[in-house]
Amino acid sequence: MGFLSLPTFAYDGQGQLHAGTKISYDGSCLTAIDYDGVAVLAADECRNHPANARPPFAAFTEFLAADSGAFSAIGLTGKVGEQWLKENLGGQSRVYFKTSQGDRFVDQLANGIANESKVGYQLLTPSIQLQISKDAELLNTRVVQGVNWHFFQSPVTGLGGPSQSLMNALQQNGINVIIQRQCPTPQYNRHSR
Amino acid sequence: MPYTTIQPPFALNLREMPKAELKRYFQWFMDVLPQRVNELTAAVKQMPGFEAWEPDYTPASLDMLGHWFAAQVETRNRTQEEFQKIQNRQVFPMGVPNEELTNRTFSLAMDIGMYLSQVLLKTYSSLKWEQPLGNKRFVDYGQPSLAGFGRVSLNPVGIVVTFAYGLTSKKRTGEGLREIFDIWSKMVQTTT
Repeated sequence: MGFLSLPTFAYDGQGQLHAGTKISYDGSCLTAIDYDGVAVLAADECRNHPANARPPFAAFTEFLAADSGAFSAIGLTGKVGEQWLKENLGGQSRVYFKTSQGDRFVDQLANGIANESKVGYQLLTPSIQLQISKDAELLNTRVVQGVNWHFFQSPVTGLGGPSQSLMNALQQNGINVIIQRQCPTPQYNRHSR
Repeated sequence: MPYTTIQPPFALNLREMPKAELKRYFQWFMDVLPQRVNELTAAVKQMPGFEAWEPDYTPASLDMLGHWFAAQVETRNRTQEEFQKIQNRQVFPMGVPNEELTNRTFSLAMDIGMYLSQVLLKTYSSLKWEQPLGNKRFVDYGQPSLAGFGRVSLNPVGIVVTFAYGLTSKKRTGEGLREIFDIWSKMVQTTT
């Protein structure tokens, strides 16, 4: 039994994954993970569940999907989320604001509300932390009247929604979290690169 | 005298306009600004309880003006054509917001944005007008903006339109106009 050479994650038992811990790998296309039996939930199913019941290996699953040839598909699904906002909310797409912390590109600006699309399960990474900080600045300076983050289920992995720490960070900064029930349908061939 | 909505001699599709035309828009904005403040003043004074309001360009004048604006903001139902256009774009069924600010509200927001700019300029001599023309993806591309807040700039009309949306959604109250001034005052960078 070897070790996965890719970035790996450890589950802390509270719905969070931490980078750096090896996950055992048997050399086949299957990966053995000490799964604790918590149900994996699709995005629309997360709505009524505590965050710590959300898929603990979501990020890892995303990574496996990337390694199995769906990498370009995952990239596409992100675009599909943006497209969904554009078609459903109207307003301006992909405009940027200047903030004291750098530029902030907004997926969709409609009626004074900045809308951000996130497809797949999302963790509170440093780059997302910076996005939140910039959005908080836009809110606090009244440049926007609201910030909505829309979470979509990934059509590739079936996973979606924010981790508990991400959810907390968004709420603490006055950002609305919207779990979209609809899964955007990407226009791609899953097996093509 | 009834309030006359602002009539820009441009389509205001700023991202599609040639830079020469954008510069003419900027000049028109500056030229029409005093007249629009007069128009706004007349409209404010017509409302009972606001007859004493004077456009003296003090921050305190924004208090009463904000409350007046809160009483003026109104929305209209989207036309069937607008409604259908949005629905036709939808991949999934979703409730389409049925309201938009009226043209009069947009016009008042523009007038109040102009007035807000003058209050800021008279309070802080370090602020200057600019017109961002570098990148069309910039949210305030081509729009008269105030520089002097460090890395960021303030589009006074844009922020009042956003304020109007906040009033309609009940997220903001009349105090919000003065709050905008106070928040941005703290960001003014004075030159030494």
